[in-house]
Amino acid sequence: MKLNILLSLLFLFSFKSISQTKSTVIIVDGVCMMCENRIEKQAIDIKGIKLADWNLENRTLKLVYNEKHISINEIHKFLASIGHDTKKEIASDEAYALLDPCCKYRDLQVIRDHGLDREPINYSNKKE
Amino acid sequence: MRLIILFLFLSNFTFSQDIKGKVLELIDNNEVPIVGANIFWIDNSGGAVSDIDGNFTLSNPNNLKSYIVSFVGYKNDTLKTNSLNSKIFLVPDSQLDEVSLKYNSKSSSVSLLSSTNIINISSEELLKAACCNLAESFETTPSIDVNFSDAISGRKQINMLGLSSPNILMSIENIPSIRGALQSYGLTYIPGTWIESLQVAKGSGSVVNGYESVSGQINAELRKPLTDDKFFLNLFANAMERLELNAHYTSSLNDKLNHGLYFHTNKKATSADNNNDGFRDSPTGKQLNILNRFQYTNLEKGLVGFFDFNYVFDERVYGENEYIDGIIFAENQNYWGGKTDSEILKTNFKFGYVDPLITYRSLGLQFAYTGIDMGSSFGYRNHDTKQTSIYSNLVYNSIIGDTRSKIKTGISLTYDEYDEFIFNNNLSLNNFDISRTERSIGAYFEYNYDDLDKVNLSAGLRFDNHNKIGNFISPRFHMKYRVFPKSTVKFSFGKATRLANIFSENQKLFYSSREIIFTENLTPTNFSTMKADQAWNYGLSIINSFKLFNQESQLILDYYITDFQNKVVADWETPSQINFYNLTGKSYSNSFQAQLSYTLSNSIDLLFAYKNTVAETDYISHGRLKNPLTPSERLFFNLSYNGSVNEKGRSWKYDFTFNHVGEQRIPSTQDNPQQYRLPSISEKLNLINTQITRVFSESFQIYLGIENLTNYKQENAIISSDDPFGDYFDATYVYGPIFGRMIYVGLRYYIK
Repeated sequence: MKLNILLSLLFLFSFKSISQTKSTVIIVDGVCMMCENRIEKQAIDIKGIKLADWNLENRTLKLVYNEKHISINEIHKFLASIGHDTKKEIASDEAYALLDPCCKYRDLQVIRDHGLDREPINYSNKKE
Repeated sequence: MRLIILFLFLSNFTFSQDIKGKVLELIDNNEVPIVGANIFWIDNSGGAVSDIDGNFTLSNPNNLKSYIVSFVGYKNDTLKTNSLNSKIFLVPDSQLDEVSLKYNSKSSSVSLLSSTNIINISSEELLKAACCNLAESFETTPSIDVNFSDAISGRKQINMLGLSSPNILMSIENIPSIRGALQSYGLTYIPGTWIESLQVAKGSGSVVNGYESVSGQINAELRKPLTDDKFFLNLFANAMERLELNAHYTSSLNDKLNHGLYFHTNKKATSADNNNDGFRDSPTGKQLNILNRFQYTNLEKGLVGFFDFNYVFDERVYGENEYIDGIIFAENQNYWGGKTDSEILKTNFKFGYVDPLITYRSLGLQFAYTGIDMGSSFGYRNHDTKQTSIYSNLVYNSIIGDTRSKIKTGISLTYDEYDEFIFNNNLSLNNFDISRTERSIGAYFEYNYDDLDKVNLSAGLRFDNHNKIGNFISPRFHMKYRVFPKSTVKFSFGKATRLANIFSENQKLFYSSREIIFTENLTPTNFSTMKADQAWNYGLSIINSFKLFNQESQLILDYYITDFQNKVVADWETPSQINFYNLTGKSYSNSFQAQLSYTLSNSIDLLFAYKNTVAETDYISHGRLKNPLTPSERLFFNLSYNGSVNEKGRSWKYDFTFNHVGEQRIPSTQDNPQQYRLPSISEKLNLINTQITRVFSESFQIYLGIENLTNYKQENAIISSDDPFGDYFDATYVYGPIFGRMIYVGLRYYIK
């Protein structure tokens, strides 16, 4: 009896809202642990985002989100609004300006200072 | 499921056979060029990078047939130069390689992130001591005391927060393992080299692993075939002629299945008597220990599993120097001695499923079967245990809302069948049949909240039904709060319940002539009236990181209270008896520890610790006394030098550990005749262990060490050693090393 109740509870948790849940990986620019903290903390605060895990080395943001509440386009827009470029949305200069000096991921010098050997993901766009 | 689509428009074949193309990514049906994708020939002879529009040109002077398109976050794709119409669908690589950060990490560290007070001990730390088995692995960890249990068995016993090891839930890869009959010798059946890392959690543990952790939890992670070296060999010998051999061999059977074979054997053929009491300082004997592991990993489907099989055979012979095991003739009967034979068969099956896309959702199943057969003799007395145990635990992990709120829930069951007897060759002593079956089933739920900044808390509750204890709940709570950027406070409380395994936990009583008595309200009773131990544990810990003389240092202050509601008191206060009864009154242990770790330079780490323990119990007819043989104070200092590697790949490692062990109360011997009395308080001890390791290459190193450098030997470790069959014989009053200085050497050989 007890077992039955437990098992059914268990399955209730596991299958709740599975259909609307999407998983994806997107590229978000950033250079340091502070960027990671900002991206993850701000993203998880958004209703509908269930998991946000950014990887400094690959600049990938693993996301699990509920499509009922938020679309992937809105997520790209949001990340740009907090100053981080994605492959789809470029952060406005105002939003980028608000980042801490150590987080200036478009600046080659800052990238080198963090011991990284790479270019900003939207480097060519900015070159002009 | 979002698919990233790479369009490659191969066109414009020229004489030079340049490949031109375009790399794109499809997001919500919009074509977005991939900038900075790498396109290179399969032999790595040349490459190109896609430009702002995703276009690239790749020249082909060598007339190669295949090239690779690669971009972080996505799986690589290999393409043929002749495939003109290539429309390639790529899946995002959800199983990205873990980031490997290179920094000088400490081999023993306290987690600042988790809510529980967990000390993580890496395999690197375990190399600092001779460390032949799990019991000896804690010599360089100030939170845990390693003491000799008695003057006969050579066994070491570990204490945490002033309480002995049965109060610590000891698990191997999260399956409670050192329990029941293994409380006596279990720690010696886990060879040190098999251990990948150890997690020591002070205070009440998590509900997931059961209701038994009174003062803490120690989990040992064993080496895993997938990540372990291909081959490892360790040889060890000490001046007491103890020889050990450890050999590991791993292989990959296919891309999903890995196999590991772990072999340990030790042998000690002779035994010295350095303290001249007529008794061997430590037993002779041998052990054979084989672990066979299969590890299954299928990351695409999110399936992981282990199938382990472990066989242990162990034999220990102890007693007077003249005692010869297995010989039954009149003269041999005059010598006190005995033998412990153990045979253990363990099978573990573990299985986990992690949703490959929704990684916070996972399901784990653990199943363990253990069969133990131990037969021991001690002079006239014998203690035989056969135990069959089954353990199973089903854990489900998920989140509520987002990953800041995690939940763990599940059910677990344990089944232990004991055939346990104590019988005597001497008819004047009592025999006991304490055969029994213990069954329990429980359900648990744990909620964890992490704000990714200051707060991390976990609250757990479990409900268990046990055939001997009845129904009971075990609440557990842990919280971390980061007050300042470098200061963290941890707080915890929790309740634990545990059915004592009286004879295995107190097996040293057999190294004496004490009469075993169970009492209730001063009247003799029997084993079955003993109730389960129950205790609350409260803990507070402050962790402060700061720079001292421009170097990293960490100061940890913690205070833990363990308060027993009930416990089976082992009363050693009457020399001719050991009385067992349920606690009436109070029993508690308050433990304070201050620990300062300091990085002197890149190669030298220092660790200082001071510990103060007040552990007391109300004894019937003796009143409140300090728990016997529990040091009230301990000072600890460790220096560890890890030299830099020279151009030949060689380096030195050096380790020095100093321990000051304060006074310990010795159970009263006032009722004994004058010559068999001991002082009521032990001497203070100063003990030093040191080890030096020469690393010749990544695959070969030699180490040399000295345990007990100051050559301390406890006098009168055995009372009445001249008359071991008499009424006063007792080898349980042990507060320090029995044998003196001990030198050891060993080598380690690795094939990566």
